Amino acid sequence: MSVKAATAPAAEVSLDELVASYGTGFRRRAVLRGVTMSAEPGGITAIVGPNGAGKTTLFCVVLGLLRPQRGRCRVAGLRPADYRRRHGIGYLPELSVFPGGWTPRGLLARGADLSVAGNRTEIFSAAIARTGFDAATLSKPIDRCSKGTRRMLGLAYALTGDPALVVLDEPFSGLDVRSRAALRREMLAARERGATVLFASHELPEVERLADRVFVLNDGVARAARAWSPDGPAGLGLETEVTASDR
Amino acid sequence: MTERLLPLHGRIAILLRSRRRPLFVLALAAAAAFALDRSSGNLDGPFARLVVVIGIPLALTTVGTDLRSGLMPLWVQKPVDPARFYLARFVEGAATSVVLSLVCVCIVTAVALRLGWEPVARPMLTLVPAAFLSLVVASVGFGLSVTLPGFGRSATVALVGFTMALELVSLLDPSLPDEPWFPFARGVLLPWRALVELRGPGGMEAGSDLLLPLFRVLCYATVWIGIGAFGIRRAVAAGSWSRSV
Repeated sequence: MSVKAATAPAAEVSLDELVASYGTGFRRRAVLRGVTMSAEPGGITAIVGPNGAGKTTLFCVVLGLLRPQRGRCRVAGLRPADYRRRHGIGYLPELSVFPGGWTPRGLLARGADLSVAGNRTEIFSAAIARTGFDAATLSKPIDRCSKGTRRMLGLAYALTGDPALVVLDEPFSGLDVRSRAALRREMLAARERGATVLFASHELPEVERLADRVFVLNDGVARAARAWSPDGPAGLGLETEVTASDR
Repeated sequence: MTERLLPLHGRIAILLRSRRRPLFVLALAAAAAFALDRSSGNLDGPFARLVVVIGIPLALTTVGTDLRSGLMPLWVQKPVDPARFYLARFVEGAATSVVLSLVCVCIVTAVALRLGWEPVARPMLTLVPAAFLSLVVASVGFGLSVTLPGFGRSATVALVGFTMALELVSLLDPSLPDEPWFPFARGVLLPWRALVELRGPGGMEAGSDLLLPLFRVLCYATVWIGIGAFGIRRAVAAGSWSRSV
């Protein structure tokens, strides 16, 4: 599926004592309260935690859309906004929103146009193949597509141009069995080509199946759950660990 | 690097498709205005006033809409400079809106000529302000959508409405232009006077007198576009676009 080696440098993500909040003055609300973690290139790192734990906020910081109040976030040694502007970051938000009037084919063509270097036609063809859509679906207005189709389109768009850093927020939400399998394949393929894959999910079986490292984020603080080999024994008690952190 | 897979005409076709509802409503309104103009036998009535807004939905508040709807991450996850990206989109939208306004005036003027309406020279002259008012309002919308992301569209409509109302009131109350704040309101909020000068038959015939209003209109549009571009850079640097995620 990969059409070219990632032109971006290996995208190691490091967060050091990161504090991030929304609002200003009296209305300031701290969401992340000293998060220290990292995500390695060629690895899949999962973030788990209850609703409102700060997973999406953490992704906002990694994407360079939210400036941390304190602490440090670096992607390949650069500030996230600088890294994103130079190399792009594949991002699948929790809710897939698409502009009106577009078709999947048009959106993926635009995604290929906006990608860095490389042959746009090849990038576009790879993105089309990634969706697995038939010709009719590719030409249908996106707002008439099903939720699962939109989700897979969002994933294909995020992976257009094979970015070296891929951030997926609740990627399994709303997917059927076949789409889940396709998503798993794409995540593993991204890891194979050396990309850093960072995802948040409530689907603990998927986390256990895919992740090389897991961080539990609760009440704005992250801690490493445990590291294991994906080839090792399954069922490492992640659910117990997340539940314990909720208490 | 191969050529673009989604060329300019493709992006404009998508833009027109995405704004088809407001464009349809405005087209109906223009047709109704054209019908109202039948009584006077020329196009210098409701139609001339309405046509200037025909293309505005295409160019208005791009940034604000993307921020509110959560579309921002779709574009900025790619390796693009957000300010350049949104400026390019603004130019596409504004240019399309200007062309659409001109096409609308040309079609209706041709119909009026065919029907033998007289005089049609004056409505033809509305081509100039139609084009420039679209550009000016789009520029204001662009600037305000960045500085007031939640209210860009409403603020633009309020600004244009207030300025137009001010002109109407000044016709009823001749002492109003003597007020000290009036030139500020008329000249700074929206260069309405300059647009009127561009439009008037006398202005068109005066030749060199057009340069000053034209310069004012272009300066005004440039300032608002600059405010928008600067605002995007500032918002990105401050990391304040997380609300769109």
